[in-house]
Amino acid sequence: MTVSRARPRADETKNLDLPELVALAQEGDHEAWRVLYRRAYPGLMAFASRRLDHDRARDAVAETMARVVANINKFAWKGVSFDSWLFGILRHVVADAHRAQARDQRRDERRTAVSQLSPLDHVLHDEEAAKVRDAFARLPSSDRELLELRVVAGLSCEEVAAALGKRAGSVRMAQSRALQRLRRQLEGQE
Amino acid sequence: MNYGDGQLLDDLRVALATPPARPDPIELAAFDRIVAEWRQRPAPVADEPKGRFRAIEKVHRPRVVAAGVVITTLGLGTGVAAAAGAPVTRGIREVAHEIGLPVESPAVVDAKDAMSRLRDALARSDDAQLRAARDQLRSELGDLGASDRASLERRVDDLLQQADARLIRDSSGPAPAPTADPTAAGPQHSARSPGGTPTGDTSSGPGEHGSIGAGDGAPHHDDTEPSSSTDTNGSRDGHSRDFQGDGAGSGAGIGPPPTTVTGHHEPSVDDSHGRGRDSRDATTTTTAGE
Repeated sequence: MTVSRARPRADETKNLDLPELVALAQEGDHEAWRVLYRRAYPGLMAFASRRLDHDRARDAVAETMARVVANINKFAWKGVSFDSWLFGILRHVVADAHRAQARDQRRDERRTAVSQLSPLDHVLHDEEAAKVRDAFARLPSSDRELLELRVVAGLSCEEVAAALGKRAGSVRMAQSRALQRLRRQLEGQE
Repeated sequence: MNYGDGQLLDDLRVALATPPARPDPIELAAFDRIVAEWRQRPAPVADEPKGRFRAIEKVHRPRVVAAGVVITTLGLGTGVAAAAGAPVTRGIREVAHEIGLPVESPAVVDAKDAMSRLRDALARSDDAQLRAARDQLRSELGDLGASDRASLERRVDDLLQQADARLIRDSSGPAPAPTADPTAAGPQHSARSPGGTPTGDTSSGPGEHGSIGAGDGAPHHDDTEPSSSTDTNGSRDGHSRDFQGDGAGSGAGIGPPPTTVTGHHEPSVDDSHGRGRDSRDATTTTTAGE
């Protein structure tokens, strides 16, 4: 492992842009890894929490980051952003965990109860948001996953396409159809 | 509620928003350990094959290399020998035949030699030599496998019938007793029985091509033509074509056996024409499969 640049100080690392952080991480820079982890954690946790209970979501994020570390040297900026790669791994981990969770019906019911009592309901008291969430919950799983990658993980259509292994154009069309279905669900509520 | 995709996405973003999560110290410590362990890992090996081929190659690499060496050696050996006009040694022939190279088995070569000697004897008027050649051929046939036997059956049957007929006609005493030789009860007679069918073993041999029927009823002398001419009737190899002819002539009983044999000539070296192609296919498949 060769170090091709002068290592930044710890307080400088957090100000680096993503490609520099990834390059340092690939060289084994521990501080770069910490910054990457803290940076990625909120998005990964938000996405995982949409499908899994809190403990399983934490496990899924930990497993995802372990896989990221193990495979960081295989990552290359070839039309795939780091976040696409990250969420591409996460969705596989979440899918596996979700299947395991689905086998435990009692656990699944508890997860539903937790989500129904999410802090957002109490904090926002937003009837409109609750309607959107209800309508969203009735969408097909594939629609929900795509829209979660867009609005929860914050990925662009291109990044979602890379994470799902699809073309950006087909993701845009799928998103449009998913939103159309969501719109119909909302109209049905009115 | 009627608005565009962008507005709907924004509403969805708000509706699905959660307070930003942060890793707790335990998670951070666990992640630090993962990174530390990763940093201490051995350097990755370059040029590893990817995907499922990695496992396949690791398991089979020694065998592939060994097979490549053997095939190259034998191929060069047989090729050089053929180019130099020298006969392929029995040892090389045995190994080459075993691994599927386009070389006839030693037993087939021996049988063909015996057939040539019997033809020579038929052309002369020496009954003792003819009897010895006939018995030798029957002995060699006993060493053949079912598929090899099937490939030679018709030609052998004709030769033996001619030899028997000549010996009966010329002999003042009783007819020779072919059953005295244990190999005399070989397939050549059973296959010639009227309306009979070839031995069951032939179904697994090259005779499977016989169902095409291109060679059915083909004149017997076709059997001795060079392999290149056999391709015109659609048969993939000379052996299967031979069997087609046999099946029509002996099994189905179409046409009488020829009464004279002239100009017969067995290919002296590996007339492995078509079989070679099949064998090469098999070799290639095996190698690729590994």
